[in-house]
Amino acid sequence: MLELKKNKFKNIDWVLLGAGAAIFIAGLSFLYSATYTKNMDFIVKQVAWFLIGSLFFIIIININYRKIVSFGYVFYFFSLILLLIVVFFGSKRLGAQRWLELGSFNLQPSEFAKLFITLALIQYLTGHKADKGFKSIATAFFIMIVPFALIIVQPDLGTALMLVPVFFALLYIWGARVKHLFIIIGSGLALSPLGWFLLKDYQKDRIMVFMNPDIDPLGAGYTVIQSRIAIGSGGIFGKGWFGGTQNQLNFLTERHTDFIFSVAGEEWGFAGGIILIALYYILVKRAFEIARKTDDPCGVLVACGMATIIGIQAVVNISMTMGFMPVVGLPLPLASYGGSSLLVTMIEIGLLESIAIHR
Amino acid sequence: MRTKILQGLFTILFILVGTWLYYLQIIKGSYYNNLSSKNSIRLLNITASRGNIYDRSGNIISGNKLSFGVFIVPQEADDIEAEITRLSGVLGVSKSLLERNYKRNKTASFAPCELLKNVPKKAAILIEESRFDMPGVLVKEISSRKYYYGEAFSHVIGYVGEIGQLELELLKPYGYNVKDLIGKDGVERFCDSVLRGKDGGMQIQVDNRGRQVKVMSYRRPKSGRDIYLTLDAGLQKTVYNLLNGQRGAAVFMDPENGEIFSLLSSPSYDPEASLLSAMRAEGAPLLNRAVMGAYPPGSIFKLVTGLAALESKGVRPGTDFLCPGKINIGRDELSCWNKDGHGSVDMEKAIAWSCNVYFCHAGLLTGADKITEYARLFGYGRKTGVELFGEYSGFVPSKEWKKAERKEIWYPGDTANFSIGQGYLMITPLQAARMVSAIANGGILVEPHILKRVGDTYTPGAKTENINISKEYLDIVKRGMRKVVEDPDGTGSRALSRIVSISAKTGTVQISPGIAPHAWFVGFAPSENPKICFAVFLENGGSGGDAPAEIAKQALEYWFKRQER
Repeated sequence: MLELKKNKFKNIDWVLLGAGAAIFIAGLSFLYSATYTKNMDFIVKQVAWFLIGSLFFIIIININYRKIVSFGYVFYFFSLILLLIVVFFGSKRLGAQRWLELGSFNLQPSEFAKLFITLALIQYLTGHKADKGFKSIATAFFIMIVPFALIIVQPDLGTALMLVPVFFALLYIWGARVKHLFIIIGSGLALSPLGWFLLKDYQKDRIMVFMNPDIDPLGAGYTVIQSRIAIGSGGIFGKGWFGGTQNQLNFLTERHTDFIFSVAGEEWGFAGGIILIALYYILVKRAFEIARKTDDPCGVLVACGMATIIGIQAVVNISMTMGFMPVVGLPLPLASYGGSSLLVTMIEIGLLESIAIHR
Repeated sequence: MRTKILQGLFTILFILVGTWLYYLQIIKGSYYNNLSSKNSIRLLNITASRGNIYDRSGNIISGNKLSFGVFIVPQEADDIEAEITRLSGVLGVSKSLLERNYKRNKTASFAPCELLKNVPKKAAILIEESRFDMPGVLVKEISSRKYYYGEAFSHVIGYVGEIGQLELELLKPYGYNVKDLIGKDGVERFCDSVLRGKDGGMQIQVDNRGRQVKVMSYRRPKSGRDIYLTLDAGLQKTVYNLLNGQRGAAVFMDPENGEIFSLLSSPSYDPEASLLSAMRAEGAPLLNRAVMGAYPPGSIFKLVTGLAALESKGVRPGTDFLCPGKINIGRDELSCWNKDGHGSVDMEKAIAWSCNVYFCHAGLLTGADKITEYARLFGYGRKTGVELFGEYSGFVPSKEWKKAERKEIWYPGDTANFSIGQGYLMITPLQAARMVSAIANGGILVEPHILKRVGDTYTPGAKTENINISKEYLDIVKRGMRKVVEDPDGTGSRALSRIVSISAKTGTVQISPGIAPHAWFVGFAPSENPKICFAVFLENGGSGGDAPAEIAKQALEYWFKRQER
């Protein structure tokens, strides 16, 4: 046991851990600036979730990640059940049915689903190392598409769309033939106009607004326009902590959750924003380095999967706050307010550390 | 290998995100900074209070009064329609009126929009008390123009109104804004730039709902400067009452320096009321007859003819003419108003009795050219330069004019008509007053004016022109004018007063048969040492010696009785 602990200290990726911690602390400072005028609940809850997340993190780095992956199907069915419950019994907020109320905590099962479906895919792909034919790919696609459909009807476009890059990243790393991947991408693109009809009106609005935010400056475009103004007005060094007028005067909506980066950009400027982006890049880069250091194909898949989940969320979230991508409901990992997202991201980092430790 | 490619993909994505951040914050930074300031910073105009207008002794004529107005801030209201419905109940006015005002006055969602002005105090308090139930509704004091003498000063002071589209385009470079109050006529318009002062403003920071967070900067409004007129409120009011709405005009002024004590045009209008009704009202109240009205002077012009005749030696001081009641000029016959004739008359008597025959002879002996010259010397045919809008220059005919414009030669009959103030000659009542002042003050043509003091600056003394008329001749005319009133047969004997000695000349202008003639009464007082001169004119007022003489007499008695005290 003692031997193991010593081992841990030797192999644990401190840079990865440090980057994650730095993002979380920076996120807390943004959150404080965004919410201190209202009340301290947000900070208290975020810290509480961080403590819960830390507990999970410690447990996970002590377990071999392969053991966790071997429960992939169990997690998968568990999340399918949760998603079904949400669809039928979940509480509605902001026009979407995403939350499950558990006492004073609200769980967002789709956040967990992102991770669990990824683990299930990894378990399947690890088990079918030998058969890289189209049949395996089709089965993996089926594993992905069922919860995808359940998440999209909530509707939670962001989380659902997150599954797509993860799916392709895993297949690619797993060794699928690039030709097969292109066939799937091609048919997906061919079918996408059909998808337009399945989108809810507000989602169509968001995409239209992304194309041209000025069509509805006080409605759907308001958030994007105000967020872009906030970030742009930050300039080089920003307006200082608590100095952001867009933030402090409530021009930014959703600024403590999905639009936390607007606060960062406004108050800390390009200097702060680029450091934050660099921290996410370090996180992703270390994950890929962990993937390259392990010989275990399962470890490679897990590391690359986690890198993709965290990296894509960061890129998409920051891009949407800058009006560079349509607004989809995706949090900024470790920084946005929200327990489910924080907990899941900490588990993901835990899994990465577990690979680093148990290689 | 594949992990490296995937990592490379992420590297590209992160570089793209960083570049976009660079673009937003560094390249477009100042643009967005500007937008963010605009987002949260509002400029509120604070209207400067308009300067007051006083009469010559400091009585306030025009000032500001505060009244309550009900406003709504659209951004702060939860349900504008419901609040308007509720307000209509409290205020006792129709909902549609409030809705109309709302649509008309709404500018920006953060700017208070006026729903109703002149709200009674009781209703204002009621609304103020229930503000919490009606978010966004507020009661504000608004300043409106108050005219303390009502209709009496309308043609001098004018009125104010919201700036018009055309005015705004012209005046925007001078700091005028939409919805500014601007003087529309009279002194209010003439001195608008002095009266209006400079608006102040507040830079406030608002939150996303337009609520004020803090005041960032404040500029005090600079009140407009006050204006003192040469007019006398008491006399103005007295004359207004004497005119009693009859169509006409009256001017009283200081013969020495052209300070106008009183200037009226009748009928008048209420400067605080809507002008739509005044526009359609009978008697054209918006017309300022004292400076815009053009009328033939009739017999009052005989004063000019007489002086022209004396100065050009057409007649000598002792010259007599026989008035048999009519005179033949070529084929025309011109009758004197006294059909029996005045007998043998000299100039004094001719003025006193207003003998047409005498002045026809005098005019014919003098010649039209000389009369034209003297008419111009006495200020006819050109604007007096008084500080009022729309002044008419009047018209003085001449031989050259008739030839050039009418393609007709000048007949002796024209000269005869000209001599007695009939025919083509047109003057304004103010010009008539100016003419008598030149007689009263010894031959100096003054420039009439109404502004005495603007802010702390006294207006420069009026320009004067010397007509160069010998005192001897002026005295003859003055004696004649005194006889107009004091001779028992004088045409203006109704103006005989026990309080003050008045010298005058009547004028009765025949227009066409069946229509009452225009009536003039011009002169000065006291006769020995003139302190005030006047011109009273009534459209279709009958005989100059009747109603206008009575008005002048009573006004002068008021004036001199007050001077004694």
